Amino acid sequence: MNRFLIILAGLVLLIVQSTLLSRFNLFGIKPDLVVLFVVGRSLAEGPSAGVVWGFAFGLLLDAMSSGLLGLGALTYSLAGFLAGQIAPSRGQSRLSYLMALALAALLSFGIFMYFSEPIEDIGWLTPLLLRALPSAILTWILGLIWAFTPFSVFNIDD
Amino acid sequence: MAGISSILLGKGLKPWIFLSVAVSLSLLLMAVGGNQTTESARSRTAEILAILANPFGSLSGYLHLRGENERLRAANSQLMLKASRADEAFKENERLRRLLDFEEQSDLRLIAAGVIARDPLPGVRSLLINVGRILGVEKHMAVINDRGLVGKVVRVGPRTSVVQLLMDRNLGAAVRLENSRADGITTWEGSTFLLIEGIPVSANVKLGEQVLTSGLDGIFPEGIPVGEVLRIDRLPQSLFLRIELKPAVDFAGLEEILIVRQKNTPIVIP
Repeated sequence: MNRFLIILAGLVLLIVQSTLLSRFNLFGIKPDLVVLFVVGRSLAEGPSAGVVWGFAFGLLLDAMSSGLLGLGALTYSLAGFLAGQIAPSRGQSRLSYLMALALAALLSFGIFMYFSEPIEDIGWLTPLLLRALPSAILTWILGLIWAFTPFSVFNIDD
Repeated sequence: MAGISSILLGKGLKPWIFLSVAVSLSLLLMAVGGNQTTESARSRTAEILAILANPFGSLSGYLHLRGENERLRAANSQLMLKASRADEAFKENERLRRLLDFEEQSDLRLIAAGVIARDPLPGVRSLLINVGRILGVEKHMAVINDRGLVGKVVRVGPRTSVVQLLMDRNLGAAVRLENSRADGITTWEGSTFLLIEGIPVSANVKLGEQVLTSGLDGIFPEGIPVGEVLRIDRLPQSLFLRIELKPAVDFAGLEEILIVRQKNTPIVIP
């Protein structure tokens, strides 16, 4: 797939996440399209590429956010790496993709939760169960749907 | 254990080197994130992304009504501020506290802005808005809408700015309860309401009591509605009440906002 189209697809997902999807934010629960994209790239190109894609798109999201600079870059790099390590090779297995996505989404929401929620006051459990886990599940469901569309990593010839 | 090692090292050391570089760079950015160079680069990147995001932001319909809506909201907010201050002044007069210079307090100007993007990173409560330095926006300016306090400006580019919302763990506002006159500071603990800290147990706080900014933090002007008291708890062995505050603003539905600027602040055009 043309690299320009991949970047464009990533940018569209990034912008949709921060504009349209933000309107459907329910009690802090919303899916993360960028983690879907990073996991997809990691499966298609390997963990090193996953780290690079994650770092680049995380940095772009950092620019739009009021949070700590580098937080998005760190989180999505780790997600890209983890997904690439779990998936066996070039996205041939939907099961490994879904497993990689579940772990990467949970990892990224966990990191964001740690940096944005007042953990020291309310502890881990509430934000983990009420926000990080439902958001990761929602992301995973979207990923599941995406895995069976013509645009999934399983149908894209890199 | 051997299985985990083989999975992690199965693809060679190259990914680990990439990861180490990415993590090191991220941590370096976190460490130097507040300096002028990185903030400037961040603002410029946000400007470019805002251009791409603008068409998506407009998909919510009523595009042709946006300008009219912003003007009406600005007028409404001006009236809200005036009414709120008038009410405050009346109560202060009743208590013979005439030392407040109200003319100076009302010396405010509002800049209307549209929301381009929000909460780009999960968990980080912020807005990207379509006005910046060119229109006179500066860091730490208060942000309101027609209902009340929204947050404050934390980063400013030429044509865009980033707003930190009140529902963020790193932002608190100095507030005053309208009737009991007790002063406190808002905090957020991850739920749909805010908490007010520092209100002594002796304060006569009532459910439903309005909470306004006190102006004591030097950021948010006095008299902006913040919300109303939702719940009051007297904790054992505590000198302070635990007060839950229902925010006046619906943070999920923010479309247009207003930036509060002192009238005598000069507009700097870069």
